[in-house]
Amino acid sequence: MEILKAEDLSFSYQNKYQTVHAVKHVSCGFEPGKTYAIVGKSGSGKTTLLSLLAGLELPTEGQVLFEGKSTRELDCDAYRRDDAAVIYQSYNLFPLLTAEENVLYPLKLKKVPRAEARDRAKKELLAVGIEEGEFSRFPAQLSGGQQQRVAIARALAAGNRIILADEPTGNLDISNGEQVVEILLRLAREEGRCVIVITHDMEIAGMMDRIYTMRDGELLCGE
Amino acid sequence: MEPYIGKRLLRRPWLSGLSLVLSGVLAFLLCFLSGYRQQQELRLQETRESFEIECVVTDLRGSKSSSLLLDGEYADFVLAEEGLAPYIRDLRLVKEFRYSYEPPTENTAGYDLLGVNCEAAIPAGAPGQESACVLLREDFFERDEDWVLVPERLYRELEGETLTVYVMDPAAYRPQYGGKKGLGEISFTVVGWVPGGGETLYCSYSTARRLMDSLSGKQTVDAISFHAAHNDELDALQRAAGRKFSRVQPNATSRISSIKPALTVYDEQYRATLAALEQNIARTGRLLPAIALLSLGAGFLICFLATRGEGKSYALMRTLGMTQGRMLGSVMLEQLLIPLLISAAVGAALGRPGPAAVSLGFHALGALAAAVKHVCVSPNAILRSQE
Repeated sequence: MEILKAEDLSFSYQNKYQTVHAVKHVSCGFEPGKTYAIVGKSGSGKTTLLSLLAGLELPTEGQVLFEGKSTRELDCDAYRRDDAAVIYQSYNLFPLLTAEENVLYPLKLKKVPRAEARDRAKKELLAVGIEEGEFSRFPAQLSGGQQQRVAIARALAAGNRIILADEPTGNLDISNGEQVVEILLRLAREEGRCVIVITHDMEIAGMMDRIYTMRDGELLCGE
Repeated sequence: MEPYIGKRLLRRPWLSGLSLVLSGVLAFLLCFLSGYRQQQELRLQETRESFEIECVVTDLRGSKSSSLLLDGEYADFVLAEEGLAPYIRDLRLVKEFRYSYEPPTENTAGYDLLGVNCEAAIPAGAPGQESACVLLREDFFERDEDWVLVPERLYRELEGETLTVYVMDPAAYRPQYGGKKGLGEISFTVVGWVPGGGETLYCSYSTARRLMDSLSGKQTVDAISFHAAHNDELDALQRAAGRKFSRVQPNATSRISSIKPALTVYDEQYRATLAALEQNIARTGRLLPAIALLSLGAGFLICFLATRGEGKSYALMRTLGMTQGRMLGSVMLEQLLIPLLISAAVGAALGRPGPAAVSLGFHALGALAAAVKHVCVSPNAILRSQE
């Protein structure tokens, strides 16, 4: 049963000189408990597809269906808050908040009770390998790998069933990259979450349950 | 409460300190100046209503204000409704007689007997004395009786006896020609005393009028003074007075000066006070909007500095599911928390919550103007920047 589905999805926008067709008639589905890789060269439309799936943009044609409901009809802010978490290549933590506070932030937005939120944050931070002594560190005091793991912990703590990761290992060394991929795979296998990873690293893509390849905005195949 | 507003403020101490100082100083200035302006407006109103502008009838040269020996028509004019009565208050009329205990001769200097219409016309006693006289008959000034106030020393000596004196009216008494006109022997009942020493006696102005009729057959008045009743009608008072009185002419000859009286309105201090107060009010009137604009500028500056590098954080908030409206509210709350607290404290300390709220309002407008640009960020901004 697909939790997320793209139906004949197209997205175009007008730049300074011309209309850019970033995504063209893409159809694909994503199931809970499975991992997906979307691969392709730079400019192939991977990130635009991810922003459509995350409800960050609305398609110009076709639709994104979350549990059968189009993102056009959904409250996209609530969709991202409750169901779809986004992990970025460049970590994107709040610089003025500590590692723990960064993880607590979405829980506060969801009005999760304080004690429960702290428990969940602690659990998820430990699960991604952040030690308790590092909870009170600010992002600038953490390494890149640690920052990415805090960003993943933030996505996990919110309990969202869909994890959309845009080049999550792009800024990490091999060791940290492997750790991050392991965490993402565990999320799908142990917690039944749907993990969609955009990458151009075929080694990482090979570890996923399914690979979608994009070229010039079109989805070529799904293996 | 939005997440971590307090912590975010504490972790940017220089910006929070700047916000605290600027909003505090501007709120204080606005409260202080508006209070000062209100105080000046009250003083202006009070000055207009109750400043005592002294008006004194003098000779034409303005060199003397007593012993004027003016015709009674001047007193009538001052008292008449179609004369000066509508424009004046606290009228003081003095008629000067001379008296002696023995029949006067050509060389008798005598002492003063003054007919006065009110207590204020009696010269003030020693400093600290509550009143110029002590009356045993409260209706002394209204009655036409042979009543007299004597110096305190004389009052003790007389111990309730009547006082018989020879009264001379300078308007008619000419001892050098041997005439008796203007002279009479009168027995007065002592009905009070005037503190201090001296020999001057006082009777009511009504009694003085009767004495003038009986002694000389001529009504005269020696001193007229009063306060302007309405300080905003000084010009009307002077126009009305101009029908009977001249303006002071310091160079007039002494002969003309003794015939034609002048009215001097002592309004220089009043006008100077009004001008100073109006100038202060006008100045603060210009300063208040300037400070309000400074509050607006401070709000804009602090918010601009605070939000300038936060574009990614705002985009991240949107990605995490915060609505644009909530995010704007969150940013505004973060920007206004310190100004709100400091304005409330300043407003409460100075007892002026209104101006403190105005200062906060302008600060908020400035902050909003700076926040809108940064806060209206697309949730997709991070992905776009990565592409």
